[in-house]
Amino acid sequence: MWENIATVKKHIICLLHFTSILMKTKNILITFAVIIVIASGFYFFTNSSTPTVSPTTTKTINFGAVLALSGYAVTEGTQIKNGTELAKAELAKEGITMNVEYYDDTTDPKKSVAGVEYMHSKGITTIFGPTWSYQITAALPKIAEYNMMAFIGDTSSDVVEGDASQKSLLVHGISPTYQIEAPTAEWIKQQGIKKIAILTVDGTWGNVYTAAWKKAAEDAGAEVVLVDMFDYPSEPTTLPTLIIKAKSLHVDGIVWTGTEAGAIAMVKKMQELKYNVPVLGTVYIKQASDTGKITKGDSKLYEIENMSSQAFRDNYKKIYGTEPGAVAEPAYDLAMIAAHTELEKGAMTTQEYLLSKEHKGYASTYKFDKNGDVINHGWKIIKI
Amino acid sequence: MLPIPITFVLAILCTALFGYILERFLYRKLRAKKSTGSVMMIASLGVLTVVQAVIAILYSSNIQTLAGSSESISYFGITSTYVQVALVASAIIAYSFAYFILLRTSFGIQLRAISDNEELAITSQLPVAKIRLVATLVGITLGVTASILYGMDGSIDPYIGMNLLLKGIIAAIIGGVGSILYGAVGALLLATAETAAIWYVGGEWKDVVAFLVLILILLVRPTGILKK
Repeated sequence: MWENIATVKKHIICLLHFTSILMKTKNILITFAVIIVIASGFYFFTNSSTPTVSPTTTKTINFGAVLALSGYAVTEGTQIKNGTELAKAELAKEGITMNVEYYDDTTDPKKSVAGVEYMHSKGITTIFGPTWSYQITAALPKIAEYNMMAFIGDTSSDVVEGDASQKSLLVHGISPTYQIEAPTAEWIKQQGIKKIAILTVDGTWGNVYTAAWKKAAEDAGAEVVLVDMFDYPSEPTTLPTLIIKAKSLHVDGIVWTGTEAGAIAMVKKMQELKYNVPVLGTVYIKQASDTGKITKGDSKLYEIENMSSQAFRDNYKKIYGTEPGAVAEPAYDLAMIAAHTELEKGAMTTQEYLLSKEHKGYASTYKFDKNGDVINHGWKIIKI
Repeated sequence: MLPIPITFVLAILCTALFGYILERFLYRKLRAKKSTGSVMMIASLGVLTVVQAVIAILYSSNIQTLAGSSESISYFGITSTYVQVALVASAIIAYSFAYFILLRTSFGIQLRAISDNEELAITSQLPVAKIRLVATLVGITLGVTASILYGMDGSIDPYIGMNLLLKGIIAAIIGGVGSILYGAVGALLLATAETAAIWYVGGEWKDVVAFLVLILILLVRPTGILKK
């Protein structure tokens, strides 16, 4: 391959020399030189990882990761990557080499599809990611076409749209969304909430959470006075207005799911208005608080999250110097499970092996159902 | 961590230096080649893309916040934070300053002359390059001020510039291109329309309404609401 590149370069240089003799134009040379530099840079930077995949041996596994390492979902993408790298280090102690080829899809669904194509071209059949639900939905047909398996640490099956047979190729790290109904209903009753607002990002993720929270409110006897959705790029400028509207409707409890920017905008607006009703959110409120982007003050902030362990958080913080967030531990656990499944499944398919028993995580076990959901964890609500 | 006033000055100096480099080594050369407005716009979009990517590489794509208090004050039924008051006040000062400079100073008259007919301005021996450079640096100072206050009010990431740029263009078209005051009125109208859309229709309709207003203005009054 390197000889081919050298040959191509030689030809281009000869062409340049010939062209300069013929044309004697400085601009032509500069144009060609720029094209060579850009093309070479593109080639080398996108192929900086190991270009070939060696056949799987007893103790070496080759996986891929199509993650949002930039763009809107960079927070989860980075957490998933860090969790995967921790698993890699742990597996190395067991004498297992897990190679992971990373592809940054920049939170763009089109690039998520391209990432799956790239992994397929490398002979990889198991990937981690994509990151957000609509990216997974976009990439799912390609995953199915290539009969790959995707382990996704930050979703459940109900937020991904697609054919059931295609979705069976996905393994999820968090509990199904419908399981938030009971703890949320309990929280609403405990907080004495009578009028609730449900504010979510649009799309399947928001629809699923809205439906679950409506049910929870109904079970708790609270009236849903405001339901609104927003697209995530404009969330920081939309949420403040919705908070003012909630206050004008005398809402005494808010449930929210969105992005970190939205969490910051929402909490800041509530503090500005001294509107300290209880807020229950997913994923980002605690993270924004842990990283100092919001100060709690008099706010009553809660987060609903999956099972997590203090031991993992301490280990993660020791290595990365920051709190792990909600998805690093599931990502770690899924990476470990994926590796051991690859080595131990024998003649079974991955799905059959996953369904055959409970699988060990960092501080828990994982029991999967046929949808690829983990069904023995559930959700808990913590005060931030 | 440096105090905000020092950070503010350093930000202006660094951005001004970057602006000088762009003006001197990119835009001036494009103008010398008689590049059209479209070419200049594409070049600046290219610069925006590169700068976003470099910032994301150096500082990550993660959301960042600048030190800003949520302490608020209430007046006439309105609640605002001190940062928001500073934002509005600085906008009023900036518009007043720009209006005064453009209409009441020889520099402003020369700048408008260049904008109107650059070739005639060169023929009239106006120091075109120098005036453009000063205008660029003034614009950068205003932009940095707005950016810092925006970051203190909410959060920032490497990619927010494009959305804000788009809204700025829409506001200028609504009000009328060519006058900064018209742009200010256009911005107020746009913000009112968006907020009304969130309140009365739903959060998902915010950007839809913005573009519907733009299309309506372009159909009914393409020069802008205020521009004759």
